[in-house]
Amino acid sequence: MKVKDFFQKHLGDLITGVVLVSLSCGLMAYYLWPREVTGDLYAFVRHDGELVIDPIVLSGVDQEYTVSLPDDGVSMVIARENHKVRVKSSNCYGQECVRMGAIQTSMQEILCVPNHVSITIATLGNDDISVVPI
Amino acid sequence: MKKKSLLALLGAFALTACRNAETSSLISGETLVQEKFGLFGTNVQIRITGASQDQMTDLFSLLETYDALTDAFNPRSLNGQTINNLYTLNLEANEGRKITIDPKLKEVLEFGLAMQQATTYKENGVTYSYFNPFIGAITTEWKRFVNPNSDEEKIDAPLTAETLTPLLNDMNSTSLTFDGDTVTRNGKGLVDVGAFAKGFALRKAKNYLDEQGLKAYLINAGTSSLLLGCTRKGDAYTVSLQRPSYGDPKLSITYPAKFEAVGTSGISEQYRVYEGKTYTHIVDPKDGSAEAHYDTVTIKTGDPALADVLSTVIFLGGSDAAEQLSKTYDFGYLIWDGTSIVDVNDKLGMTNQLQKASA
Repeated sequence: MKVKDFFQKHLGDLITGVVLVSLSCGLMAYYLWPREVTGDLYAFVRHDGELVIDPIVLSGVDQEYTVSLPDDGVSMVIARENHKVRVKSSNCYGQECVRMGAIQTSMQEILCVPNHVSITIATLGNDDISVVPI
Repeated sequence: MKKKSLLALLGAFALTACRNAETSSLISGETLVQEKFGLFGTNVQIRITGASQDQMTDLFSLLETYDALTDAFNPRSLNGQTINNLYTLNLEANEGRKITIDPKLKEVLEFGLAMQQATTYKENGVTYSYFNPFIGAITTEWKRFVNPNSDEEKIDAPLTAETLTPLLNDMNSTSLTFDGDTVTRNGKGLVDVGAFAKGFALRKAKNYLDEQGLKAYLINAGTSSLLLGCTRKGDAYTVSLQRPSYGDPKLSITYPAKFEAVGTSGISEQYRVYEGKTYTHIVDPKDGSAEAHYDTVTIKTGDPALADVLSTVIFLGGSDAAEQLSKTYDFGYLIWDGTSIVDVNDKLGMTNQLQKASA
């Protein structure tokens, strides 16, 4: 009787709970489900959220890119090697970013907290460059 | 409490999903192809919307061909075969000899000679000529002083008349003779097309892009030579001259460019200050001087090759040269002396307020 009373009393709560869990699981599945990526993958190097060098296409040949921001005391070398990117050298005190190694998917990210630099992987999409510095 | 926890969980997932959906919508549409190549001694950045990888490869091959043909300092090969390029033509042993060259190099050389004539003008009985494709030996000598990264042996003081006079004589007494697919260098002057090689290659790149029906593109050949189509949204690019800003983009000189070329000559990359004078890699063929009187000259016009030539000529000749050449060519220009605008015309379409403050 107690069980029956309980279900009668909390039926609404149970339905709400099941709906919420189902929705959450559905959204999680949507987010995690592997999907085809259209376009090349690029590494985006940002300092305080602002792009500091042009996006680096991962499919290119091995090359090094210098990130030099004297006003912010940032000096780093980003290397594209075997279609991955890594921090080859950095003037930060911890060197954690160097130790993080190479990344190649959008699920990975390199953070250099002391230098306020992040490296993420994404497609270029409709990202546009409209200002050309000379 | 349980309800609140579940709702928070749901909210978190919902936010994550929204972020992902936004990314999905951004990657739809035509593909942007972007790559950087080491060409013409600099990084050449190419961004084209809607291009295939094959088209990008074609474009690279085109630019690489002109880079190899116009290289005055190194023997080069293409497709595994050694080619006759400017280095070959400039070899001491090849003075007075017929050298078989690619028609593309012939076209480059003929353009250089034609521009030498076309940019020479008379004013008040005085002839002014600021463009000479035979200036190679003098430019190379100056680079030993100006460019600390030069492979040549460095020199510590500016070139003197003693050094320059024989080189100027060689330059002025040298000519090219074309005969079919051969060219003969008559004289000891060395051919140097560095002032317009990138622009000429971009002219060919523009032809290719037009043929392929590609509109949204940007080719940045080391910032001194730009070829601009329209942006992915179909708008004009904003060209931003960084030199006046000293790091503050709000103070940059800006102007729009759409389906146009930009040629820029300046001291930003190669210069050396000696006893209060600034020297650069751009040499005046009149007296062999490499002293810079301006900081930057930027040109906007339809033809990348012409933009390169005009920026060199006006860097040396200043407002007078700009005024004279404006009678023949349709272009926008701006001359910056390091602290203020020396001269600018309406055709540049400068869009920021710096003009009012400085002009």
